[in-house]
Amino acid sequence: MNAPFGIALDVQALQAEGFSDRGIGRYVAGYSAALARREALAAVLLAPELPPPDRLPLELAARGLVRWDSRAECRDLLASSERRVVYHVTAPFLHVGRGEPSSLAVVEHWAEAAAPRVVTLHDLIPLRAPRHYLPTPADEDRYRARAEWIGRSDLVLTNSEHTRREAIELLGCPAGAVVTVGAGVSSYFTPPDGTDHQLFRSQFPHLEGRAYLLTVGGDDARKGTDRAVAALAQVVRRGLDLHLLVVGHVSGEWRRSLEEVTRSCGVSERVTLAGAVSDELLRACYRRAVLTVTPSLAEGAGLPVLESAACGTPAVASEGTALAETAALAEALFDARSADAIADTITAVVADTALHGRLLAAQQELAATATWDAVASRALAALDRSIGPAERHRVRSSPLPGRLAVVGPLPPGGGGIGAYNARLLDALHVRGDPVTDAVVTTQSWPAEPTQYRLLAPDAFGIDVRPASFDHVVYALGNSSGHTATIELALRHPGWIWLHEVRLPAVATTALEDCGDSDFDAAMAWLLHRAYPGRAPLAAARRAGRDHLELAGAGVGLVAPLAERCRGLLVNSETARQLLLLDLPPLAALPPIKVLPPACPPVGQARAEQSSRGEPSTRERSTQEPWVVAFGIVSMAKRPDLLVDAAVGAGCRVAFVGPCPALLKQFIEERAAARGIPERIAVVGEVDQEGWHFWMAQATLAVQLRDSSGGEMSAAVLEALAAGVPVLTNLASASEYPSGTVAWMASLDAEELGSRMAALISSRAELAALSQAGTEFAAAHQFSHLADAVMEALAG
Amino acid sequence: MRARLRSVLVRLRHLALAPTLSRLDRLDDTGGGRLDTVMRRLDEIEVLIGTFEGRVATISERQAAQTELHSRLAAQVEEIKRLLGAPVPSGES
Repeated sequence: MNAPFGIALDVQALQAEGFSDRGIGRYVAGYSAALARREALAAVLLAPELPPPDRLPLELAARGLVRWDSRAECRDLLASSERRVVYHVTAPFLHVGRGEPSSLAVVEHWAEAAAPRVVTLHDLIPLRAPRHYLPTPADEDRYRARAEWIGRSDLVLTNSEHTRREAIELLGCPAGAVVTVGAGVSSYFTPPDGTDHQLFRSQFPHLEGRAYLLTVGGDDARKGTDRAVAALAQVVRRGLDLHLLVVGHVSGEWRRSLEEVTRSCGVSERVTLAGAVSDELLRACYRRAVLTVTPSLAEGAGLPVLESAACGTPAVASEGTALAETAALAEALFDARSADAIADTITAVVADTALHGRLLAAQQELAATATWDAVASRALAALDRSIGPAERHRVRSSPLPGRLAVVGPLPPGGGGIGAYNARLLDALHVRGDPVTDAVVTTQSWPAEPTQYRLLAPDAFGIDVRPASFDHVVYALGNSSGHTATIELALRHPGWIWLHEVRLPAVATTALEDCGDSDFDAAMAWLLHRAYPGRAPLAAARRAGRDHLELAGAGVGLVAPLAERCRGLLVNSETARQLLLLDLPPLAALPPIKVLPPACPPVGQARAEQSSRGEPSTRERSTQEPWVVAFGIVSMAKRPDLLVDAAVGAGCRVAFVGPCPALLKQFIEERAAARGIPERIAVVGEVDQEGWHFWMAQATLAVQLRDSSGGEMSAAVLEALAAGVPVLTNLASASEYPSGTVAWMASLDAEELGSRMAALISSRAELAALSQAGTEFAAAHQFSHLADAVMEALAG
Repeated sequence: MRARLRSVLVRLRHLALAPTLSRLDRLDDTGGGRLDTVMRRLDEIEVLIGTFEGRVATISERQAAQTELHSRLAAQVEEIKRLLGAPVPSGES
C-alpha cells in the first residue's frame, strides 16, 4: 500500500539511553518497521548529536530510509517528496530533564517548515504524580511545557484508550485530534518451542522445574514489585508452592529495599531479582511462568500482558490502568494498591485451571490482533482523516530559509577577530539570506543591540540545535580565549575558520597554570594526538612554553579539529599551504577554502578626522612624519626592529594598541639606548576616536610579524581602507595585487629602516600606495566577504 | 558616638587595618580628646574605611571573576581533552 503521506519519522528514542531497550524503544522499532512495510515513510530521522541507534530495524536501513535529521535534510525531504510530508515524533518526552538538550525533541527546523506534526503519546504519568516524578517547580514547568507542545500537535496517536482519555483530560486535546492506535506485540514472542531450555537453566537453575510467577519490574515504585512480593508471601501461606521472578533493571538502592521486603515477608528464598534481561531470556521467562503479574499503579499500555499471552502464559493486571484493556477478563484484574487483592487474584487464577485456560485464550486472542501492522494501519487511517482533502493536494510545505550560525568572539572582547566577526555579521544581516545567529564566546556581550540573534555557548546544543542550521562557522584564533569555540567545534562539527593556521598558543595559554611536568605531559599527549607516529617532540622540548617557537617549528595542532569538521576556511593562499603542511600527509582532507580579506568602509577614518577639523597628515608635513604600528603590541610584531629602524629613517614611531607594561618599558628602554626616546611613543589602547586620529596622523603604517600563520592583519586592512600606505612583511599581504602594500620578505632592521626612509621621502610612492590601498579596500568590503563565505559553504 | 566608634572598629578589624585600628584604639582610650577632634578623626577614618572597602570589594569581584574564568577555562580544557579522546579519569563514566 502506498500511503498518501510521506512520514518523516523521528526515531531518536532508539538512540537515547534508558529508552532504546525499554517499552518505548520496542514500540518505535516495531512501529517504524511496519510503516516502512506499508511504504508510508519518507525518512527515518536520527539525531546526529546522540549515540548510534540501538536495535534499529535493519529493513529501515535496507530501504535507504535512515537520515541524520538536519535543516538541510528537512529541506530536501520537503522539496523532493512527491507526497505531503508529515513530521511524526514517536517519543515526545525525550530530553525534558534539567540541562537536557530540549532542542533535540522540539526541533526548530521542523517547526519552521510548518509540516503537520503527529505525535505518539505513550503516557502522562508524571502529570498524575508530579510530586514523585517532577520534584521541583522547574521540572514541572518543563514537563508541562512539553505536554502543551504535544497537545498542540495536529494529531496525537495513543497506545491505549487509557492514554487517549488522559490526553483529552490533561492536555485539553479535542477528542477528534486524539486517536488510539494501540501497540503491537513483537512476532518474537511465541509459545514454547523447546529451544531455550539451556538458556533458562543456565540463568535460573534454581527455578528449573518450579512453578513461578513473573513480574516485569524496574526501579520505579510505581511498578509495584514490593506488593507482588507481599502477595507472593500470602499465596505461599495459602498453600501454593510458588516462586517469584522479577525481571527489569534494579538499581542498588531499590534492590536493597526489595531484599528488605522479601526478608520481612519471609520469602527471600522464593524471590529472584534477575535485573535487566535480554529479549531471548525474557521470552524464556514468559514461556515458563505459571502466571505473569503486573501490579503497576500506572501504565500507558498493556504490552506485558499481551507479550506474556503470546508466549503462552496468561497475566493478571491492575485495574484502572491501560493494563486493564489487555487483561481481557474481569477476573484478571485487581486493585494494585492492595497486596491482599493481588494475592486473591493470583490464587483464583492459579488454583482454577479452567479460569487459567480461559484467561490465556482471551488474552491470546487480543495478542493475535495486536500487531505492528495493525497499529500502522490505524495510524495511517487517522492521518488520512485528520488532514482534509484540500490539504492533501498541497504536496510541499513552505520552503525553509537558509540559516547560519557564526561562533566566536564579538566586541567589546575578542580583539581583531571579534571586530571582524561583528562586521561580517552586519554584512550577512544586510544580505538577508541566510538568516544568521551569533554564538558569542566572549565573556562580555555587545553593549549595543545587534541586528542578529545572540546566543550563549552553553545554550548551543541544548536550547538551540546546531543541526537546525545549514552551516555553523567557528571563527578561531590562536589563544585560550577560543577554547569555548574549540569545544563546540569538536562537539558539533561545522566549518572551522582558521584566522591563524598554527594554533600552539591555544594549548600553551590554556595550560599556563600547569606545572612543568604536567605541561610537558599534556603537550606530549596533544602532539601524539595531532601527529600520530610522527610527533615533533624534540621541537616541543626545545620550545617549552614558547608558542612562537612552536609555531616556527611548524606545530599547528589543527589535525584533531580538521578530522571532524565539515571544512576549513582560511584567509590566504599562504595559510592554505601552511595548513597542508600541518594536516596528515597523504590522507583524505576536508575541503579547504580560501576567503578574501575584508576591509572597513573606505575613507571612514580620514573623513571622520576631517569632519572634526583636524589637519591631515600632509598638512603636518613640516614635522617629522609618524610611522605607526597599529594593533596589539607583542614581541611577535617585533617592536624592537621598528625602534632600531627608526634610528636611520628620520621619522617618529608610534605604537597604537594595547601594550603590556613590561613591553612598553622594553620599547622605551630600547629607544633610550638607541638615543631616540623623544621619537618613540607607546600610545597604548585607544578608543575609536583615538584610532581614527592616529590613522589620520600616520604617514606610513608598518605592520610586522615575526612568523606567519598565514593570517591576515585587521590593522593592515583598516589602514588600507583609511588610505594609509602600508609597509609589511605579512605573508598574506604578498598575495594582494601588486602595489597595494609595500611588501618586504626579510626582517632586518637596516633594510626596514631604508625602506621606511625611502617611502616617507617619496610623496609619489606614498600617494600611489594610498590610492591602490583604497581601491583594494573598496573592492574588498565585508559585503563581498559575506558572499564569498556563503559561496565557500555552498561549494 | 560610642556606637558609631564601635561600628568603625568592627569595620576596621574586618579589613585588618592594624595601624589605623591602633590609632583609633588610642583615641578611644584617652577619653580626654575634645569631642570635635574625635568626630573629625572619625569622619576621616570612615572615609578611609569606605575607600578600602570599595577597593576590597573591587578586588574581590575581580578575583571572583578571575576564579570563575579560570575554572571555566579548566573545565573547557578538560572537556576538549575528553572530546579528543583523552583517557577518562577513573570513577567517571
